Amino acid sequence: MKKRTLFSFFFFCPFLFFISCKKQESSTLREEGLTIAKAKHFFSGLAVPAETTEAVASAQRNARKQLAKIPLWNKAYTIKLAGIPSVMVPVQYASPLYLTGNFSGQKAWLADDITRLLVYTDRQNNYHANLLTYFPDSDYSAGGAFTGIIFVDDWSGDAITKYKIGKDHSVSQWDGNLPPLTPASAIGTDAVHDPDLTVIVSTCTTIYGYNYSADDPENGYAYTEDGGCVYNIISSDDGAGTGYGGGSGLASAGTAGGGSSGFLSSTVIIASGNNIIGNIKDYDKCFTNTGGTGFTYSVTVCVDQPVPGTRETWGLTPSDASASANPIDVGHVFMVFTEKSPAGVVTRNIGLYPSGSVSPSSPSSGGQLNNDASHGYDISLTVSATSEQFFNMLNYVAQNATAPYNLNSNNCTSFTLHTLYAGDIYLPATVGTWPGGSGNDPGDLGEDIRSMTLSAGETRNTVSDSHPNLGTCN
Amino acid sequence: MKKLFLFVFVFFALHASSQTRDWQKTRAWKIYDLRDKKGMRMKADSLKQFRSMVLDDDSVKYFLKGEREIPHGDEPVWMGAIILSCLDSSGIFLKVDVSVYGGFFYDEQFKKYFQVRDEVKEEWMAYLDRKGTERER
Repeated sequence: MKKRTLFSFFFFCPFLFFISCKKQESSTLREEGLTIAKAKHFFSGLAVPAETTEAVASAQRNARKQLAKIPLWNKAYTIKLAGIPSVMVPVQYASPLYLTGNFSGQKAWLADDITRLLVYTDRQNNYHANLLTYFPDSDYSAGGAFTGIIFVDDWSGDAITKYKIGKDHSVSQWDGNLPPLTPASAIGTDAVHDPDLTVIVSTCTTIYGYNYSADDPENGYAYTEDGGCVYNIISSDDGAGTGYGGGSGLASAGTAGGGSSGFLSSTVIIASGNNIIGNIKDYDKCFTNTGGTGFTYSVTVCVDQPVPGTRETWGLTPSDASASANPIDVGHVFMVFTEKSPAGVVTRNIGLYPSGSVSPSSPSSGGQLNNDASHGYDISLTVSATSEQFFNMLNYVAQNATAPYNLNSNNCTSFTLHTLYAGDIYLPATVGTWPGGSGNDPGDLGEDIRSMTLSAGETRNTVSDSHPNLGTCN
Repeated sequence: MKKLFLFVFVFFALHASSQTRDWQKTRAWKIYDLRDKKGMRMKADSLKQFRSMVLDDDSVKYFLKGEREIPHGDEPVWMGAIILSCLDSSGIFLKVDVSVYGGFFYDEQFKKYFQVRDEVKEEWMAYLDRKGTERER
């Protein structure tokens, strides 16, 4: 019993934060101090429809709505939710109803254990009655803070709202006005004008229910319910304070058991990149060396200079000018390969890094290729290429993907220059010096690009535009 | 008087250089929507204006377990950084710059470099990359 009380406390606490529903059973009694007796009196006065599964087509079956259930008033308890007196009442369904979700891991829950009737009064002493069903996700562990999705319905099971509680206590609220099966691309209309916008991704949840009675095993049935979708806006912005909250501009309708519905997400996805490219052949496989009309190819050299606009080979990056061990930034150079075809655009970012720490006194390490999609730059040069040039460059990258890194002889700048040479694209290869070493460097390459006379098919850019990876293939 | 001044100076200099960080006692880790040079140049007290996302303390501490301090003189160079923050055991706000390669990071308060264990280096980068894609508004 004690265990169950503790479980209930942790499980049902999240509702402390958000009891502000729009459509619910309510009445104005103007009474002070909510007691269980008053809650029972209010609830018994509601016109509660009789539940039945009779005459319901199997496709519309939803045991949470149609299965008879009763509030267990003898087990009710009072609780203050955000300072508001409330009564929480366990609920018992007429037959065992097992519920799980595509986000619940391998666990299923008995509906009786995760459902409560909540009766509370608002600041104007209006009474409200909500049916709360807590669907834990795979992050939830007994005794811990609740994580998962909370369905807030009226007693007959019609959706009022839903909340998604994240592991980091984030709360996303369902915005049920989206038409059924709203495509992710239709979300966030404000965001589509953002030049940094990459893509909007939806993650949808589904609830699975199984109604089973030992007395009537033949009539058990399984059904599914829509659990809502989280829409995340991916941008490649690495600047400050810009971007969009997921679901910005979301509108909506919809009921549980209906079509697609949206959670107003509190998260923004930003492609941060710099993940190691495990297999360069696989990474590049979406490029199609088929040629033909409509195919264009280009490579962009992006230069992150240690001191923008100068040939300095290294720069200090102090956050505190008095620091004695200021980090030394040597900048970075990377490439963005792009293929445009009638089928779409494929883009891949590739940059060479050491696999271990390097310094002028210890300049060598293994080499590894990273996805630099989120790396900003100070200046870039885009060069059009033929398919032959393009794939010669990609072949060079693939053949040298694991070549040892050396700060002096095979660094990100020299690797980029050599890749371009493989495609018959020749950029100046100025050698810079630094304490303890010398070699090609981002400072010099950046200034070489800045000062060079551009030929046909070459474009220079001094603003760090977004350069996300685009295009997927099997 | 001069001796006293010298003593105090040397004491504090030694004290500063001997300060160590128990990363296992840190908490409230966050990752910021801020990177590279711009991120490294940002002062700790200015981080609040940037979007951030809470990281799981236990995960971060797992990656930082067994870290080693990089001796002065062997500091690696930077080619990009991811910006994190945390609270130390006294509740002091710390800015931590994490290299995008090599598995090292920089404690801006103590001006010290640390290296994560080799076996978690790639996993640490992948974790931050994954988390960096889910930053709060």
